Amino acid sequence: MLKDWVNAVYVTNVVGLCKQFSANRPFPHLLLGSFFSERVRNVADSLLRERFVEQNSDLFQFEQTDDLSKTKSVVLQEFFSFCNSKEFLRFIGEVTGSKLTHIDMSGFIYDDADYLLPHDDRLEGRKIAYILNLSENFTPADGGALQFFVGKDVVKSVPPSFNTLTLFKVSSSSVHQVQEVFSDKKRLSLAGWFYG
Amino acid sequence: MAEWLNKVYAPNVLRDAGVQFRKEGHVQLLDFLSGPALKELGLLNWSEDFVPMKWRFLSATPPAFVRSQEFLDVLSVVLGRMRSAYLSAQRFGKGDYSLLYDSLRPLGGIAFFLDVNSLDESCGGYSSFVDAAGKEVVRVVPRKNSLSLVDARGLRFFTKYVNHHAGNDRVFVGGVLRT
Repeated sequence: MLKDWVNAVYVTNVVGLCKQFSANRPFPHLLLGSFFSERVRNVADSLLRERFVEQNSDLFQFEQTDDLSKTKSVVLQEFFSFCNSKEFLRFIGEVTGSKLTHIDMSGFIYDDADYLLPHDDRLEGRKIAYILNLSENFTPADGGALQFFVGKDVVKSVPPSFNTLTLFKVSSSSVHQVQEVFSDKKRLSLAGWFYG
Repeated sequence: MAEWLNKVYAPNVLRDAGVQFRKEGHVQLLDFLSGPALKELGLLNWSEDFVPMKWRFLSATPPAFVRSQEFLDVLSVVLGRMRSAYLSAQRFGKGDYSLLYDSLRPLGGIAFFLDVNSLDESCGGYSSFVDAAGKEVVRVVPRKNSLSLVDARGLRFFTKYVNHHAGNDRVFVGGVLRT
């Protein structure tokens, strides 16, 4: 099942990915382009048919779905089940050096002027944060980049790119933000955490 | 009459504002400062204040008239006898914000803001006061040359992220007043 969903380049390179994950700075992370098979396009299309609710606080402004464990979409149910499968959890666990038990997942849309301010994601049980980007045609001028901090400085900026999976280890140093979107393009993603 | 105060704010007008404040828990007085005093607020020396998981804005030492006993005396006409506990001049431009971080304690008095500019709510920059459950109780939307007073006892507040649509910065001198 792993090879039905995940690009074979990654499935066959667990040791290399593990080394890269640990070595990447400012905190352990991976950016995996073209991560899922073409089936992910159906996932993106189905996600856009979900109900998104505006979320607004001191820390963020965006639209979010319910946890996709509750989705009625067959395509999203299938994708969520795969991501929560023992096989996929073991694969991500080996890549990140973590023992993982389950995943949660919501869909997000960042519209014009939406953002997520700096935070470290630390909460009971969260081991690995992930973001699967599903938006196309973003340029740096559109904003919406995932940005990593060291102190006051943004030291890494990852513009949205379709079918790129970002994984990072949750710790006191994993300070990150989603840069404000500066255009009317919609930044679509699936995101959540692997727990352990 | 204080030179920095708009002359329309005679003691009886200030006392009426106090009645409204006690009834509503907050009040906003427009055209509060005289022209020269408002200009002084726009000429402060700003420096960066940035702690990513707490706040990002520019700060400055408030002008002398806000730190004077005369200023407290005028606010005391509205609020009853007050003393100042904390004063700060802050400037929120595009990308600036303050958050409700874990160690942020509730305010123990009356919060005040002397705002220089107006800013549309959709651009952010407003101050949102929330109770212990995180529910917004009062929102101070900046209005040009206004004094906003909020009974902030037991409340915490954040300043909403200023987005790229903002036409100008939010600039204010703020503080906490205690009895």
